[in-house]
Amino acid sequence: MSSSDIFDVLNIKKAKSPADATGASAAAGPGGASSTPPTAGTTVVPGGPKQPLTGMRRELYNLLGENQPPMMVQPSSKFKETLKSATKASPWTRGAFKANAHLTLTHWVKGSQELLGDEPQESAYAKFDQHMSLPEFTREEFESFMKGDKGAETKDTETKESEKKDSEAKDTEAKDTEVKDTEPKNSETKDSETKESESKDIETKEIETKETETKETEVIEAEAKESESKDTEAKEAETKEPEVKESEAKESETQDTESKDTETKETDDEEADTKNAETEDTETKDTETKDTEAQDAETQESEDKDTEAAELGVTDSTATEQKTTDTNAADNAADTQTSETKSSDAPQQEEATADPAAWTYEEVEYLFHLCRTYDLRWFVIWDRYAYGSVERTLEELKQEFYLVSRRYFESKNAAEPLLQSLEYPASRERERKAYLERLLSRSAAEIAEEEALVIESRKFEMGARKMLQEREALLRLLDSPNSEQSVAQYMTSQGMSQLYGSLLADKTRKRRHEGAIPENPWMKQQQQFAYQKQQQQQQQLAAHKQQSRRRESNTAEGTGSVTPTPAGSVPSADSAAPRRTKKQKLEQQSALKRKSEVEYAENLLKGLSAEERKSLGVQLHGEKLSPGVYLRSTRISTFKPTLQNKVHGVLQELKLPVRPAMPSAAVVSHQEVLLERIVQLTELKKSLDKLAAEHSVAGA
Amino acid sequence: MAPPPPNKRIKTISVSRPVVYGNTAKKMGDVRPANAPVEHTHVWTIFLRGLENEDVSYYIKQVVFKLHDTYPNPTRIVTAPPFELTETGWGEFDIGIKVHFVDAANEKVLNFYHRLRLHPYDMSKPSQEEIESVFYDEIVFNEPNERFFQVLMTRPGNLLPSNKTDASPFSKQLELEEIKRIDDGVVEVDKQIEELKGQLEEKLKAAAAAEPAAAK
Repeated sequence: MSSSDIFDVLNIKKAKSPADATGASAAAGPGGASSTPPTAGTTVVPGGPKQPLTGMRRELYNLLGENQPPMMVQPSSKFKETLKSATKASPWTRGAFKANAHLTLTHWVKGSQELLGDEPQESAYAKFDQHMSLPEFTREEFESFMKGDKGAETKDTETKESEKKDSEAKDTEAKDTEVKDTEPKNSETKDSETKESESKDIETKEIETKETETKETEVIEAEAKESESKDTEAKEAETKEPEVKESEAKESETQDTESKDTETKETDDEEADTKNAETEDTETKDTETKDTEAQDAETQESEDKDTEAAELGVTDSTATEQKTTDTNAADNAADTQTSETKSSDAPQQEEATADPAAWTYEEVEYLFHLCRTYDLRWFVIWDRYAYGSVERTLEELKQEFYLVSRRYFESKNAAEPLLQSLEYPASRERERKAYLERLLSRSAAEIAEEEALVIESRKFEMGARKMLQEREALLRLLDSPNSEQSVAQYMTSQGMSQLYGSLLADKTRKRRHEGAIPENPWMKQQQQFAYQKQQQQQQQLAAHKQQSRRRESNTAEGTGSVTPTPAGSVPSADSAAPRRTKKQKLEQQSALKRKSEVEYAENLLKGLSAEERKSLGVQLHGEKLSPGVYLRSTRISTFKPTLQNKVHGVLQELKLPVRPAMPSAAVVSHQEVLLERIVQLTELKKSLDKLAAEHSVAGA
Repeated sequence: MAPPPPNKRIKTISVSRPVVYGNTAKKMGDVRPANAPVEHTHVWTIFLRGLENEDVSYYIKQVVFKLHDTYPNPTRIVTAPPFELTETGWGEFDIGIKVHFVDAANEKVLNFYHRLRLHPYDMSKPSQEEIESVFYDEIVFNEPNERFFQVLMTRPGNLLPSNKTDASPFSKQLELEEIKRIDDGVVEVDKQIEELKGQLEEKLKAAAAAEPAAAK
């Protein structure tokens, strides 16, 4: 996202500079034809006013990024000094060169006069001064190769796009009727008639080519003729044709003027895409103006027609009226399709007339002539194209050109491998341009919205991934202690602490593995070996220790060892091995000690029955509690403040006091059970809430 | 087996002694103690005693009541049973209770608080002559030393009266009732836990089902 977009989004208005104003006028209409539209390069000027970038320029600029010069051109930085070179300057000579076959120009070249000689040099760019060789063919050839594959083509067309079908069907039709050229083409006639008045305005303003001038005179004549006699349809058609031509020419001129200021500035070999877009713009503008003007012209036309006599004229006007509405409605549709529908709309009016969009040999010849003249620069060709009353889009021109070329080469050599590349999918091209136009006409707000949406979607993806991980962790936690194994080894307090330790280690290990590097199988095996070895050592050591201990201890009852084998299946690193054995040794010692203590205490209370023990308040807890005196009520479990609050809340719901009224040993033990359950309950509630939240997020 | 030294703690054994502590309070009528300040409205007594007023002096040496700092000599030491203190006052505050045990016990001081209560909180029972705030607790000697253990074993100090009485509700009966209530609570909580577990499983299943659907 470039800074200009940010400006757009934040709606920061920049001060209007004069350059800006001219740029705006240049974009608006043909008024500011001389001013070059500001390019992205102008933003290089430090501190200079930035132009709001739109359309293609914006896209290109985004691709390029901020195009800063490698060195800031500022009054302070004396960059000119760095250009001073120690080498001796070589002489410059004004020498002549041949610009082309007819023209000789002079320029400054490095080197002395002697070196260059007096003869004018060949231009360095002479090799680029080449023309394309386009196929030439006579009418007969055209007829033959276009006809030759007619049958095959019709079969072909069924599978091909409808667009292509249309044009080709028209082609075949065109061959049947030679005269169709002179016949009126209804869609164009309409258009031209309606545009007549409008185009005259432009005429007055602009210098016209001789061709159109002559046509205009023809028109006047024809109009006069029209008003005088409308005996036959053919005549009317004749009169219409020049009209059509004239209007077309004018149309193309209006397009000219509109597109000139943009196109002329650009060099011919500029990228086709940019041209495309621009001409598209002008095209759309054109059609828009046509739409509005058509209505105006309609009324004018009907006025004109009023002066005309006879029913024929009347029917004609009604027909044209109807057709203009047609065109208005169908303007949105594809060009060829509209023309087709139009032709089907009024078949009764022009019986036996061919499809207006059909191509004749003459028109094809004209097209190829233009192609040769302008070296296949399609925008120029399309711009200059003025043949008959037919209005062709750029795509139509291209399509026809490629079709004819293909036929031509097929007739020459059907096995030509390059023939495949002569395909021109017009419909797809139109689609592409439409997409491009839509892309370029996005507003800044729309772009910003798009970006925001992309960011948002990224967020969602991240959230979902995190959620998945957490859910996995939760599931793992739920089935963490493997309940399939016997619990016997966890029954003692020591076993319990061991289980706890192993679980803790398990947990941390899992955490560590999340998103970390995958396990190296070789390392894993190494670890396993180390672990096994360590295990063996431990067992030996433990057996040894126990034996010696037993011998020492005075309570030699020999009830066997209480030390469980290490329960945890925690593969630990080699470095942990000695520490672990030490720890275990300590554990064993303390366990043995405890055992003796328990035995001693039991010995003390041997003579007391349970009842007596109770009345004496003496209890064997067998646990490791810190010695000392305390109030029993103070040993009721407490939790972290938040959890404590929740637990108290649950107790309140159950109508139980936080502190039992009578905290005796039995009551407190029961209370502990209750508290444990309550904690479990709150944990469950928490995870359930979390899951619900996840679900709602995922659902959203 | 030689007898262990008398100061050695006997591990894994704990001995408990039930006590009752709290205060009673009464509004002062016309009869006022001679030296009572004018603003004092209540006469209260704080005490620590055995469950049925039994003798606790065989293991308790003295009890120190730490009153509010506004009292003259706020630290009151009671060295002989009954371990109680009567004062006048107008406000409620926390009284610190420090229980010193007999020398043989070799135990630290037991420290706890009692919030003095002067006013009836339960408005459903108006016109209470005497306000009581009494708590039951048990002093637990965890791992007492040999000598003290012998002392404690001399009498059955943990005996509870079998039934509630008006004077003292703390009894085996109350204990059973208490256990019953807590067990009911446990059952209730267990029910809720099962319910939630079911919900959780459902949710997880739904989520698991939703995921492949979303993947498509």
